[in-house]
Amino acid sequence: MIGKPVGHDRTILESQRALLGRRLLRHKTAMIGLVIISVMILVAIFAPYIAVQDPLQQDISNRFARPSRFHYFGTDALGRDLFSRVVYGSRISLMLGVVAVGIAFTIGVGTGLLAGYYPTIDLVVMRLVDILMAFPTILLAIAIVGVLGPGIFNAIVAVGITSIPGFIRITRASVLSIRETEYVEAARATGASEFRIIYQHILPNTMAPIIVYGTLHLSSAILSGAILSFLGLGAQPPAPEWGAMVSSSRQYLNLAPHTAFFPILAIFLTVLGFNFLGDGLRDVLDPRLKN
Amino acid sequence: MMIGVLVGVSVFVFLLLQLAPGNPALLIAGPDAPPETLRAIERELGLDQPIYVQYWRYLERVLHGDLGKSLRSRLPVSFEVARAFPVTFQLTLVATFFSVVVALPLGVTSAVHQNTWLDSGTMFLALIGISMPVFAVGLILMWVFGFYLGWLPISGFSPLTTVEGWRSIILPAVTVSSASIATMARLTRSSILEVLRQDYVRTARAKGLGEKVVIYKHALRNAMLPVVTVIGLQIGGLLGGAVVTETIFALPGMGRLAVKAIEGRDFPLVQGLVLLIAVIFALTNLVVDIFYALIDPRIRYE
Repeated sequence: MIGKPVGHDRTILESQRALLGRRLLRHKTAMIGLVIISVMILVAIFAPYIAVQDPLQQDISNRFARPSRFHYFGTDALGRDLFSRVVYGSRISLMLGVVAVGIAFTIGVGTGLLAGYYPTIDLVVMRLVDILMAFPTILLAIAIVGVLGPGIFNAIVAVGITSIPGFIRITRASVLSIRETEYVEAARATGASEFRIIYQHILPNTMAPIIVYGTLHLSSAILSGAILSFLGLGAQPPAPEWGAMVSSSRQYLNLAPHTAFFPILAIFLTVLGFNFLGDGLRDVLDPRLKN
Repeated sequence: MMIGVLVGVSVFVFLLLQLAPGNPALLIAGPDAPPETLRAIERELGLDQPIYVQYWRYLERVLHGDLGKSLRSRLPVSFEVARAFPVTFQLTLVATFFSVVVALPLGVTSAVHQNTWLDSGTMFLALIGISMPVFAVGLILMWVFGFYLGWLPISGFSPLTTVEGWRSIILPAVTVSSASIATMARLTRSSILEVLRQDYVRTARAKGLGEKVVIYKHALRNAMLPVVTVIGLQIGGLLGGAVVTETIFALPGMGRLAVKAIEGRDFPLVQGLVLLIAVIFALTNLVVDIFYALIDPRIRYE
């Protein structure tokens, strides 16, 4: 057949996407991860309808109540309903992870594209990345919050900044390999502008590893956020943040272990969900990375 | 290369403090100090000089071992850090040892029994280890072994030359190593799987060597290179984990010092600690690089 039907490429692209989607649907752990994350997102959105009472409402006469049908997760040191606090906590943790990774994604991928394409920019950017990478991640985040001052906004900024080098590196690495491919050369030969080459031809083809990295990194961003709050550097009491809740439960650990257990469970499930989904996406999008 | 990174780190740490809100002179003198006192302190600290002069002076001082004075205790930062360092060092060392000793056999077992329940079980545990925040591991261990069973102390630190010292470091060290055990086990597994496909492993099997010799002599040795890289990288993670763990178990190390310094807005102390941790981290990676050449004769540095 000589004359290709119009829209042929598009059909291939769509069927490829459908194929990837089907493969993802068959990936058991990825689906478990997706379900966990979806539930968490729904809980975060509908928190006011799911929570049984105001997460800040105290009831001193009813401190450290064990889990019951009135308080599904029990109550904490100030008699606040833990179930409601964990439910509202999903908003803070998810927002922190998504915003921090969003910042890192935007800056990191943009910079990585330029660094991979222009050797002079590369030289400068990679030195800066080396410097940022000279700090253990969580310590860098702690140092940044230490200077900016504790608080949820500064915690997001800190986690975002510490996440940038990873995105730069992974983007740059894939740009370097794509830059020399024939289709980029072909685009250049047809007179496409550099802007067009970078954004239309290179960017879409670098996305697979970046998406995998981004999903897996959401889990570590949420962990970092929880750690900052646990250390008293992120969300401040009485905000119902999971890490901060665990932190305040510490001194009553022997008396009321349930006050630590449920927020820990929430963090664990959320992080596990993103790890499951990330692993699955990697298997589907980039099977070479699977050992 | 490494010197370049260290200079960069010093610039970064210096600038970090410049970004801190508020005038350092005001912090020292207090809010009610008259302007003349403020200007005198500024002159004394060199704050009236251009920023590159300030950086140069800072670098000079640091290279002479002068990290400034803590705003809180009025003691030299180097003194405060020297007191806290051994605690963090011992904790990280024991945790590293523990991670390697647990993670390598786990990874090897998993790879050798690939796609069996043993493999998927181990890897599932590893995934749980990665998904657990370090403070959660610490608190769970504290509750089980400290409160419920009452076997081990839950706080405090004694030197490792005493029995009490070893007893008190077990829970923190296991806590710190939990995440890196998981990462290392995963990596050892994939590294071994990669090596097992190589021709020389087939040759070793073909000439009738026992499976143990093949795995431990031919495969593990060749699989070590990426594993050593990760051990090096993990030390950063271990240091980070130590910060959190010290807070949980009330160990008087650099991590707890840093958190306290941040809470007290003690900027010189924060700056000194951050700089030192980065230098330690960079030196560790240098040691790892040298270690490569030792375990892999194919690598030689010019």
